[in-house]
Amino acid sequence: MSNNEKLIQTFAHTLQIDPAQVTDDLKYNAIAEWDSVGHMSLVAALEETFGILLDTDDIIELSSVAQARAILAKYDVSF
Amino acid sequence: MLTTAHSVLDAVAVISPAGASMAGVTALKATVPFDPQVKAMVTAFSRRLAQDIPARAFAEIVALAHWLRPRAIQDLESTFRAGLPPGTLALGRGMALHFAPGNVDTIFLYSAMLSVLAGNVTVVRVSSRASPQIELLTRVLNAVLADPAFSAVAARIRIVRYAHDAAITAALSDACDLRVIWGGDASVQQIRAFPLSPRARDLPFPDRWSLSVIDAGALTAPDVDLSAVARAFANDAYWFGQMACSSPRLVLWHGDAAQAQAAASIFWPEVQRQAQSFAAGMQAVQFMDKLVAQCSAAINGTAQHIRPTGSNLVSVAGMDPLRLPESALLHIGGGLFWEAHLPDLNALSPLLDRRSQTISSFGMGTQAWCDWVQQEAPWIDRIVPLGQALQFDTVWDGQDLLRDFTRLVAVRGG
Repeated sequence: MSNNEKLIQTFAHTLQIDPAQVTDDLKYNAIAEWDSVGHMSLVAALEETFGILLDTDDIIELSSVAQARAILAKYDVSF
Repeated sequence: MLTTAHSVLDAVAVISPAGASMAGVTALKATVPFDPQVKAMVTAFSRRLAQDIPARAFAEIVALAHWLRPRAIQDLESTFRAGLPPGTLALGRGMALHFAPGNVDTIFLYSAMLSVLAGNVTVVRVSSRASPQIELLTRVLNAVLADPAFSAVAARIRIVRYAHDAAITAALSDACDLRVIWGGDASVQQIRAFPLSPRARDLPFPDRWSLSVIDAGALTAPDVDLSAVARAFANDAYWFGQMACSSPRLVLWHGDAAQAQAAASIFWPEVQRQAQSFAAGMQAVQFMDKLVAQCSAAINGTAQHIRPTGSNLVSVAGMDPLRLPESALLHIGGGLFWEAHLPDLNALSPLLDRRSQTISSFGMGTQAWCDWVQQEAPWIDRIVPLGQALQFDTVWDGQDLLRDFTRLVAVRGG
């Protein structure tokens, strides 16, 4: 599975949404599932999936799927 | 005393680790803080909790898992180590006895996990009241502690329940090195009646009250996301039924009078919208109690006006600031707010007392708050952005918990 597929699957599974909804412009708080509680679950799932530990600043910045990809790239996860 | 204590403690029900007893617990010694096995257990617990589907229903449990995530524990450790005085080494204090509060079901684990990380043998008494959150947390904790890799740390943790029993509280108090009492004035007074050993110390968490300070000019600025601000406030106020010590019960409008009026008139209807998600958890009696509280305040002159909000999910009454802080203590929770105009920050510190804890704030700025704290030396413990009132912190009620949970050995050489 590619990193991109893993990313989409992690979003979909954690937020319990359809993988088709996981597009680059999906934003934090734009859907009910991705609220502050969903965000905390998402951080845990991304850390687990990619074997990384996210900085607090990155957790706050991670407010869209596109940004998630950019932030993960800083942790040497390539897309 | 020792044999008496042991037989008395036989009546204690250990709910975590599963199948454990109190035998031998009081004889265990402290270790160094941030022992690798303890850190591994705490982060395994965080991971397991974050993946637990039923836990998703409880925002406060998701927040606990997030707070204990591996990176946060790393940061906790480096901050702790960086703060130690030169030439000292930290150790756990010994046996730490925690009395958990009844109003916030996750506190017992924040308290327990910090205590274990600090190197203490940790005994936590949780409320006997049935709670789905406590059941869920102990289920996940028991699954983690059952891992043989964590047997040494499991031997040092006891989450317990017992009915009000003076002999047990007396025996545990006599045996402990640190007693942490959550749950407000009544719990503190009741448990303080039981003597500690001369070398032990109490860390009490008495009754507190909290407020919000909102800059009226900032709230009415054109680029403000009003619904996000109101949502942040509603989350601070409505979780735990507004009964946490850091739940805001008073809103002060900072700015000139006209701005304050304008800000309040757009703010409360939006809070009413954002609080809808909490409406299902409210009971009819709470609406009634809030109405009664407002009317009594109007009759005795404390309330200057009662703001019509439509459904009374959000109940707001204007208050004469000179009647603070006594009137702020007239609190029943469930979304009952007082509001008042605050022309400038100099007028704030006289409104506070030894019981004021958290200011959740919007539009004021960190520098303004730092200057105010330095100039006024006010009765306040914590100033956070709106939306973070309920976030647990290792610095709580003016104390650095990890420092209080440890002791220092000065090694100067020789």
